[in-house]
Amino acid sequence: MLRRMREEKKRTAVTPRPNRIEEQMIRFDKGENPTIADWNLKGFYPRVAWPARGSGAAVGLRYWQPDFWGPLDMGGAAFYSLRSYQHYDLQFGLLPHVERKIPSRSWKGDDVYELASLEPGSSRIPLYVTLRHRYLPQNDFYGLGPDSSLDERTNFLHEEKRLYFRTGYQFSDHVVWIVNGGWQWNRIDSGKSSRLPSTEEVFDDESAPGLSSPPDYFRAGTQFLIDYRDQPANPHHGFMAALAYQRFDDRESDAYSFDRVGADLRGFIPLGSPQRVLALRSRIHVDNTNAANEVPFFMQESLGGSHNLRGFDSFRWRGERVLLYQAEYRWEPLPLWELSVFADAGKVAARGGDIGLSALQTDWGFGTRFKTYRDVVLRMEIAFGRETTRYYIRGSASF
Amino acid sequence: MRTAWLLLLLAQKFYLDDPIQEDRDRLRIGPPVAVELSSTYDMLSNTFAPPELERPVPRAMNVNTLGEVPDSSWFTNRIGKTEMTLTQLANGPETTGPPDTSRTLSVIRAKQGGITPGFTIRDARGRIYYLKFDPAAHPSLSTGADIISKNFFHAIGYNVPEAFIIYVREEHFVIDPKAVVNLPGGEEVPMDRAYLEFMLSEAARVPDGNVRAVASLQIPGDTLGPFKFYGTRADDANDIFPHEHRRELRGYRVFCAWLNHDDSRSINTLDTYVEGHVRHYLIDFGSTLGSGSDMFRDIAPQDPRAGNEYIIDLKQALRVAYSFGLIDRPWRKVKYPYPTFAEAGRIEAEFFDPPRWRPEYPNPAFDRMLTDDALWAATIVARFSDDAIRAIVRTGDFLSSEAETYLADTVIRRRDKITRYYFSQTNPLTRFRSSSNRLDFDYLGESAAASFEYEWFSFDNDTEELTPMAERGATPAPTLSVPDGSSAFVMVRVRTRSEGAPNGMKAVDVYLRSSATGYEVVGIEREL
Repeated sequence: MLRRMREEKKRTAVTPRPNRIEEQMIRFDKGENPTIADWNLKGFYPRVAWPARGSGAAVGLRYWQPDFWGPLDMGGAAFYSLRSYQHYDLQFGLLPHVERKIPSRSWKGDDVYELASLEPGSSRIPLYVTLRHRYLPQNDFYGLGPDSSLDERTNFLHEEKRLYFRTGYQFSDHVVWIVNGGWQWNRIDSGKSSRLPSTEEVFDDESAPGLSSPPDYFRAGTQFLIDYRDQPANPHHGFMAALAYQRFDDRESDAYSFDRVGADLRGFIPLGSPQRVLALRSRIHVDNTNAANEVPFFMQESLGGSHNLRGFDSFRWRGERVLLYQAEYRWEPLPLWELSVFADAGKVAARGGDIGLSALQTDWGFGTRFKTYRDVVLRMEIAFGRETTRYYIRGSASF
Repeated sequence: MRTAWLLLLLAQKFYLDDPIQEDRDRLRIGPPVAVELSSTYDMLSNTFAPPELERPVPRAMNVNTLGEVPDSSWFTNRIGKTEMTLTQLANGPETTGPPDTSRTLSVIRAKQGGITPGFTIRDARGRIYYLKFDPAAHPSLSTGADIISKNFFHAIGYNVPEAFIIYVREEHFVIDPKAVVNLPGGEEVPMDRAYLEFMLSEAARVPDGNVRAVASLQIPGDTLGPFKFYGTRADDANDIFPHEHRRELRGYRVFCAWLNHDDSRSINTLDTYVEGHVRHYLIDFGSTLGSGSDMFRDIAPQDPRAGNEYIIDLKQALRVAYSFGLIDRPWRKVKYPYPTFAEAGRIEAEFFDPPRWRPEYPNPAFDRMLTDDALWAATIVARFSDDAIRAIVRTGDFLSSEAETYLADTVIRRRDKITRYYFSQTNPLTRFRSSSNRLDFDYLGESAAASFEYEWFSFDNDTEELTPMAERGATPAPTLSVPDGSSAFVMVRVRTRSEGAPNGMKAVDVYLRSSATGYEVVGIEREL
């Protein structure tokens, strides 16, 4: 009987074929189909990004060509956002990267943790030049200091060009020292928002220093990073400590020169299980000037937005002194799926103002993240502050 | 129609050739095409869209009337049916021998797929082997597991490749001029000495400086790709039993649990076309026992999750989600004696619970395993004596005798858990054999059997009608007298009364056929 069944099947045998989805996944498994993240056309990688705070989502291209000229790499980016923000840059030199993969990057350009992506396999000595142009047509401004009012929300246009070099040394997988220097040119103009008044309509040079004559700068600084997180972009234990100093020299007069000192401390504590992590962060920025100088309003550090005081609008608080505390309880139903509840607290202060723990602005919220083992791919959060409720969809970790 | 009626009239429960010992699934067919499998697709489809489970799950389809798996292109009964010497167990499938390292080995291809680094070589005698190494941080880990598990699965009865542990140095190798390396994206570049030296520099070395490797002999025949654990291969006329209903694939779950082969998925199987038919192999045992991979797919001691939870276990995930993470996975608390016995990796027997063991993702054949499938497998597991297990573990050639002892002890303890559990799920009566007018059998249960209750019937093989006979009763010994009579067939229903083993009361029906020399056992049916 079995033989009869086999003879019958022999007569009707057909060639097995994988379905179309499986065909594509076979190519993917074999590396013939690159992942979405690796897909590129001659070094141009299509991307969705949030290149500046308040920009909204932007679409554009990143360019990456390792060993473009001998050992020197070439990178770049061109993005245009839903709110007409524009970002263009070009980088050339020994750029930190792992193997030949396109490196992750910081958009802001002066975060103290920008070079945390130096991983084993990176060059120990990054050395590169960046030329950058940003067009930020509707940055929000509510006034300076802790007493700024939601009712005084305005917007301004900030066009910024920078040319700077960055170098340093990676002492080990965990310790990096960076120095940088370069020029920054600024242009401030009327904000392009149709809903908000422009900043000059509400504020003047006294309440918004640098509004009518924004200074250009020569900048130089150094950063020191100790990073003992297990996975910098998806940490479950360990800590990170970053210290930064930056000197801003007003190129025309000395009126707007200042120094900035910053520190960013983060700790990740597993709570009895790797699936439960308490994530803590403390950040401080202090700008110092002599008594006669002022820090331009648009150069002052701010709080509010998807990475710090999440229950407040972007740029809601600006000041020469900024203090931030963040705490998140994260738990993982699966290694690639994380849930979180969080609370943020922070404040800004004018020069000489109180930077203590009193009168902190606070918020709380919850969210979910989808991750790879190395990175947060998608972060969705709701944050509740006393002024507003904010919703976030982002492609990076909160901190 | 006339033929159908004729067949119906001729229909019998037992035929003259029952119980068949060999499924002759070697009907000559034309060469099938090689098919590829996406391991990602396999994982996602089996996790999120598995084949619908039949209710009730049908019994295994490829067994003989005794409930045994006949020899076939899938399986050859070895330790389950015959005594194997310790030497036979340790030799595994080896007949060809290791590569000839007295002369140079020609590297002809870079290895693709799998988690272990390696490449393909041709020795001076023209034989092709796949070489895989341990990473420098984990000497002996995956190569030891590979060889040990290969020998276990061979003794159990599966087709496995010949494989050997060898010790080599850089100077053993020359690069074949045609050797290429596949880069991500599919580009091929010629292999150079630097690549070879890089691969070897990443490999673990033994104290004398040699690199230790597993050399797997190329399986004979044309490679056709992996088989799936569901359905049949459409172009293989011999493949008529849906794979999920093959007892050796359902029972494979028990063996995999025993040896912690969580990577027991399609990608680690291989069909080959040889001598006009398809032969089915299990391959790549590098992720078994205490060896596995880390989150970046690099060789490492087994992840504690492995064997305890699917990669994506939505039910467990939701429990963790709604409990704010407070409901933790119990396997996280397991203490492994790692790195005390580093070569053994991360394996233990204390927390191990056979029915809770899990492969990387759902397997349609595993999900259909019934108690009779499990009993078949557990009976084979029970055939591995302590000495047999130690002999096989010794083939891992560990540097540390303590690691070898620990691994062997752990496998022995896992064996005991396997047999204890699965024998308790049914009436564990096996090895029924008749001589003159006596029927003997083995009782494998852990609880002492108080008595075996029996009830004899005469049996009509054409109508399948049972007629009670006068003989019934209970006996403390696993021996029954076959009643006198003129029936061509008789059947005895046996139940085991034993304190603490309620499943012993499940009926085992044993059919005997009259022959010139007395009655012979022709069929066994078990109540699930």
